[in-house]
Amino acid sequence: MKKWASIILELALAVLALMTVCEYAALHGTAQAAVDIVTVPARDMVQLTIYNSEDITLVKDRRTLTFKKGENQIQFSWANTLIDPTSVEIQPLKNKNDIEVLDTTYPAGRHETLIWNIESKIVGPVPVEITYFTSGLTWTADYVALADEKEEKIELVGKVKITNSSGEDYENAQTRLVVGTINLVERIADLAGRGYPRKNVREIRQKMKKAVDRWEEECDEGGAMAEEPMEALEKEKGIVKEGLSEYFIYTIEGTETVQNNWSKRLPSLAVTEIPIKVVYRYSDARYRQVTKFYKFKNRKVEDKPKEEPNLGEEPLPDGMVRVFKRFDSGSLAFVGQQFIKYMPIGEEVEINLGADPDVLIERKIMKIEKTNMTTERWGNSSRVVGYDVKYDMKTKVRNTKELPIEFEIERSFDGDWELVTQMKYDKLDQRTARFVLRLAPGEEKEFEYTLIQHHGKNARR
Amino acid sequence: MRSETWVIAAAVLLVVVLGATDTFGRIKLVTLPRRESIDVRLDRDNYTLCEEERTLTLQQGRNKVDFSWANTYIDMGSIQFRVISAPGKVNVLSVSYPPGENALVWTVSSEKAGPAKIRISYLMSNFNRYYAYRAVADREEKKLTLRCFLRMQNSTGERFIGANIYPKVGDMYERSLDNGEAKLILAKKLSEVSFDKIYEFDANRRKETEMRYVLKNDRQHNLGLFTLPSGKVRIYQDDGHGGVAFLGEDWGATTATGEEMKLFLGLAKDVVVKRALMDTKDENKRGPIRDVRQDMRFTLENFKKQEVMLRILEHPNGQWEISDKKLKIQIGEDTDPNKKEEEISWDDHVEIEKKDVNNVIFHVKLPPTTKEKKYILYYTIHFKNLW
Repeated sequence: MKKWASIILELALAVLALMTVCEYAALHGTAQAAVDIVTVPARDMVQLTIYNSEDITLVKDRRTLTFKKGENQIQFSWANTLIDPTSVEIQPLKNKNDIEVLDTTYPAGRHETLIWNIESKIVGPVPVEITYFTSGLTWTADYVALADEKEEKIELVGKVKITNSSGEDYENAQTRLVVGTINLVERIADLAGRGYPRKNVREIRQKMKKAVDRWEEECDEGGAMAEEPMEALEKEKGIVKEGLSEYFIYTIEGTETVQNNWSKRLPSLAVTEIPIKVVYRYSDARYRQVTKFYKFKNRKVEDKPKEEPNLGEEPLPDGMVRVFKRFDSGSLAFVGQQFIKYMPIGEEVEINLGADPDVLIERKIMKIEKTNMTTERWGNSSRVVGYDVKYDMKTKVRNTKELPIEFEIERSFDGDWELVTQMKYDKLDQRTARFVLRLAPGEEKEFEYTLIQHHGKNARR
Repeated sequence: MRSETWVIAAAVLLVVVLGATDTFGRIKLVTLPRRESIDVRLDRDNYTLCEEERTLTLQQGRNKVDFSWANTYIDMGSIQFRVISAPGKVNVLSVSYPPGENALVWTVSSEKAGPAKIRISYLMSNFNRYYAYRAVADREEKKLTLRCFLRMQNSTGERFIGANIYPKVGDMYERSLDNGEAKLILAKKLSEVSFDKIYEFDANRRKETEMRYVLKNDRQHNLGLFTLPSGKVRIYQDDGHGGVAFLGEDWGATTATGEEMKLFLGLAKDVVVKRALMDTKDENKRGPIRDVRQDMRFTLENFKKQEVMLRILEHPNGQWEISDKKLKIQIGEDTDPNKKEEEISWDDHVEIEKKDVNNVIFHVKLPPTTKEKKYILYYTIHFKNLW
């Protein structure tokens, strides 16, 4: 693939005396006449910290620059990339007291270049770290959940996929992924595009998009992505997971090469024997059909050997979960899929598997009765100004499955209402009541309640 | 590319035309004194004051000094002429404005001939600048290093060479700034700044809990040296491996000394608040007048290993009163038929701060919770005298 964008770092030795002798040249000449380009050092190390909640990546780029005593001018340019120019910074990693960044100049009329004015008290090579934000590198998580035939346990396999459409190749990059939702007040892509004519940014984006699509097609056809031939069986890469303020940071073992317009998928999690709860839910407000859920908690699975990977050690990043059921014969059946939101450690994960016709609900109104009617005179006649309506309700549920289930029934009622029933229920808010039933395989249950709604002057709200 | 049209910006032309009258065409360019120094003052946000010094050779009697500025954003009405030193007394008699030109002519009367140092001051527009901050917090999120940068963008049409730039924050810099050029300068570095990290839930804003850094601009927190100008604040944290990771950014408002700068960095997913309106009822009916009561319930979960300080913001309006405050622990999961709620001490955990009639803050000390053991906060609000 043709490399069409690059970051160039030039160490430019500006002749300081020139500034006073020839003001004009010094002002305009940093990249022209008054500059003597000495070296273009290669990258020593690059680290990518990619965020998934926003299109932003923090790039840490280490290089060794050779300084002369006095003022040094270093030019940094980033044609055809999506770097936020306001974020670019340089810091010495050694001799911190001898090297001072005096200022950063963004020359007139050159949108993708800056020049650092660095005062050095020493002569010789110094490792420096250049950091900046770029747009175009993203990562996503996705999961496969394999349930056993009895739907008691699942095996959860998580993967992370990194996609580079930043316009820049990152070779042998240490890659870190941040899980969490950060606040950004301006989009990096917009900052990167500022100063460009609008069309240009669109073009860059389109080029990137096309290339990614093309690559994905090639992958689907089973071509492309030829990895280096393996001499021996290699182990999957480990991922170190650490807390970072309110987020989590995943550091992928070793380094990765993520070329522009390529994607890479790596395993991040594999936990077996996670106990699940199968829940069926009927909700007036949310699902008008009986819907099936798997629930499990993102916490340590007990009785698991210490060395085995476990849940509850990290949050689960947002991602698509594809759920399969594995029959004892070994074959799989697709159960459903859902995008789950970030799950903190300890939180309960709920995967909506869609409507399930095997659990039935029948709701019937057995009797309607109007009571407590109050009237008021209205001219020569009178009119009803307040009344109650009593509904005797009967609900029949049936579990046609061969497994025991928990069934949640959420009913929504308007206005001023109350329930009279022997059944236990929870009031979730002023409109919603929830009944929870446990049904054995093949079991049928029936329960009754009376709903009283107060109208007109009888209503207390 | 540089345009050639603005090269002769703001040139002072000294015209020594003794006895010449304004009825003649203006005679220009007798001598062009060099600008000896220029000060650029950025202390007022929307105004840029430039003051330049030049040395003129004055003749005894009447002198005309021609000042013109092509393609430069100078506020004509703001131009001032002052004599700093001269061989004798100097009076500025008048200023004339030639038609259709960006120019003016001072008529100056000098007691003696000789060199005079003059200072010309004027306001310029299109010298844009803004402040931006970069903060790096420590691992414990107790202290941070705050660096305040000044970014200047010179689109005035003028070239500043060796200008003394006086920013609002920090010391004077001597810099050259071409037209169209931008420059970023570290204005101030503040170390060991202590700050508070808070968790805030405001159902009016979003369903999730926000994580905020609060910087108090006072000496106690190693700030308080100056009013912090408004600007984008990017916050990083020491990653424990010799580097930093980005935590989020927010616009920081102008913060006077003694005030707080509050920055929303991101969502705190470990602190989960669910707010439910449980009931609304009329009460205390007096003819057409009534009160309305609302029962509120907040489920509070903290998946962290340590206690957090959570602020719940509520926004009632009108005449209101809060009653029936209760804090309970729910033991058992939500769908557990045997779950129960036990009341615990409100005062040990919650403090209500009435900021004003529309803003009430519940400060909650929230210990770690689990799905089987979580906190439930109840209160009732009575809206009075409605009809």
